[in-house]
Amino acid sequence: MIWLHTWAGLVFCWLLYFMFVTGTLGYLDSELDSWMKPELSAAEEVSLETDLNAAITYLQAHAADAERWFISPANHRDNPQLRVSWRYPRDSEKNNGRELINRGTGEELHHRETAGGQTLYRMHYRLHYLPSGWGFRLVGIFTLAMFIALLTGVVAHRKLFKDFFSFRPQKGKAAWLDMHNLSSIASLPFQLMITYSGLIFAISTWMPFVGVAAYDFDVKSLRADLNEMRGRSSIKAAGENADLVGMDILSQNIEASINDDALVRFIEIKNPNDRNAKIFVNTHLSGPVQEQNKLQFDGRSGKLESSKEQSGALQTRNVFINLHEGLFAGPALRLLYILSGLLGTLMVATGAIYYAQKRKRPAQALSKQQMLVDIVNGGTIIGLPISICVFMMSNRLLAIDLDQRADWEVHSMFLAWLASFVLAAYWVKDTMWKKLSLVLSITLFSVPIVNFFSTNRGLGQSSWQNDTLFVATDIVMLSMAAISLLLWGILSKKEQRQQSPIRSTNAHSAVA
Amino acid sequence: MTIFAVLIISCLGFSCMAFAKPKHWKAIPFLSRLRHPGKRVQELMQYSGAILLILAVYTCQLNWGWALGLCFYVGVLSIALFFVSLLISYFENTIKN
Repeated sequence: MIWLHTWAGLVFCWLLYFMFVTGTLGYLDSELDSWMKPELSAAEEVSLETDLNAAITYLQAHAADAERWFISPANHRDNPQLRVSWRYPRDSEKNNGRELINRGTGEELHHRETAGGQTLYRMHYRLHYLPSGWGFRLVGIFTLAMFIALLTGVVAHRKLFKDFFSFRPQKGKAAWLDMHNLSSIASLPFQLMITYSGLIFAISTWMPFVGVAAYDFDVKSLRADLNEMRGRSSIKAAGENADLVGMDILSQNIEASINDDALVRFIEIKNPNDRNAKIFVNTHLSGPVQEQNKLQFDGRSGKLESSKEQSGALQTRNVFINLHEGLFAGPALRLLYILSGLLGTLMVATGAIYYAQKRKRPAQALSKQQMLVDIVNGGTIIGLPISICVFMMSNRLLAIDLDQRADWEVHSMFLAWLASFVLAAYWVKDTMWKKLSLVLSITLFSVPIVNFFSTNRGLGQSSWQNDTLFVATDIVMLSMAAISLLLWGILSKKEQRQQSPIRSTNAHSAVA
Repeated sequence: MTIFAVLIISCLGFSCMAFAKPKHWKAIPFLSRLRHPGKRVQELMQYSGAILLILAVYTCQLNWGWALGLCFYVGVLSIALFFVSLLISYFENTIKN
């Protein structure tokens, strides 16, 4: 069992680390999005009617003939701005679009082109540069490996559960094992939840025949039923023009149909300006087991037509998906999600370091394999945070009118990560961890500095204006820079202690 | 505020469970001067720890309901366990040095 735990963990640990770091940052995706669009401030929440009026006016002017309109009111951390998007039929030559809307002027809000927090979040299941679908398939395999590593870890190390408070920082290699055990036991419920729900995400990718077999491999019938469940299939445009219901009536009807504490997440209008227009309303989740409200209104009268009930199977699936994504979490629970994710990251990192340390012998020089493991460990564990800092700085430093700017932000991140591996290889023989910690500290420290000089939302100004997001980002970056610097100091002292006995031995032999 | 209350209750629960073991009892400066209590007190501390952890889940349920309360409870439990373990390790090293 121990060998299975070691190999299932080790083979995939570096990629799992990447998934954990980018996945944990995914709990701050909307905040990162806002940070990477410093031209925009979060819109003040106003009535649903005002938002709908502004959105419909814009859509009528710019995409009146689209097949579907989507409106996200500015009422939640996920929607800091009023957002609209529209889609044409697949065979149309017109382009789909999306815009953020200024409610005051009714025009688009202009901001720099950026990959944003969403791209960083999507990396944890798309692996970015891989062809579409392949990243998702690979992530499914890695998640299964992690699930095996977790279960075998619980069985292999069951004695640890008798006393899981042990952490012996002075014990050298054992300290890494202690920290690996402690972080994994402390966050075990979260790890089990996140891997199991991650597997549920990939269920139709890796077990596609379960659903299709129930329909005698008739894929068309399966798709028709899925569309029916979503309430979309039978709604076709009548081809006759008709006025859309007034937004004052629609907003009143929506508010009367949802709970007092529920917020509208997005509204979809199918076949707008047609006699057969339908309006679908989705609400934000307020808890993991909450059924997502999907209300259907008539597009001309604004009357509620149906409220879809989800099947038991779909509800069960949705509970796991909701737990994984944590979209329902408020600030306090979101913080707990992030801390649990960091504990998971720590578990993977300490496991990888322990594997490398355990095989080192003090008197022997490092073998090529050991050096390779060290380079990959250093380049991944410290290199990835360095590259994320570069990703954030590139948002500020790249020319605003650069072609494919969003892509270049991501390219900068991966180039910085590559550079970290080169530095790790260059320093591997002596003080790799110490020097990489210093580089990390400098890059972390650079983020608020670059932000200060490139925007008008530096730490001073944002503190003065109670700009919580920018103040919090700068403080977190500076705190992490201080921690990295502390790590550099500890490793420097350790290096000096290790060198001083050698020096004194040399001095004694010279005297003799 | 409830979240801090749950965190404190959980920390106390884990501390009771940890100090039930002689190894961790010796780690705490003011406790290490005293003799480790007998098996009965040891068991009592373990049960007290378990009761405190149940009290924490009850507080979560009372404030947020089962669905959201369990999410809060699991998150707080992870942080409390990690924090108590680091604190014990810190005291152990302080005594040794």
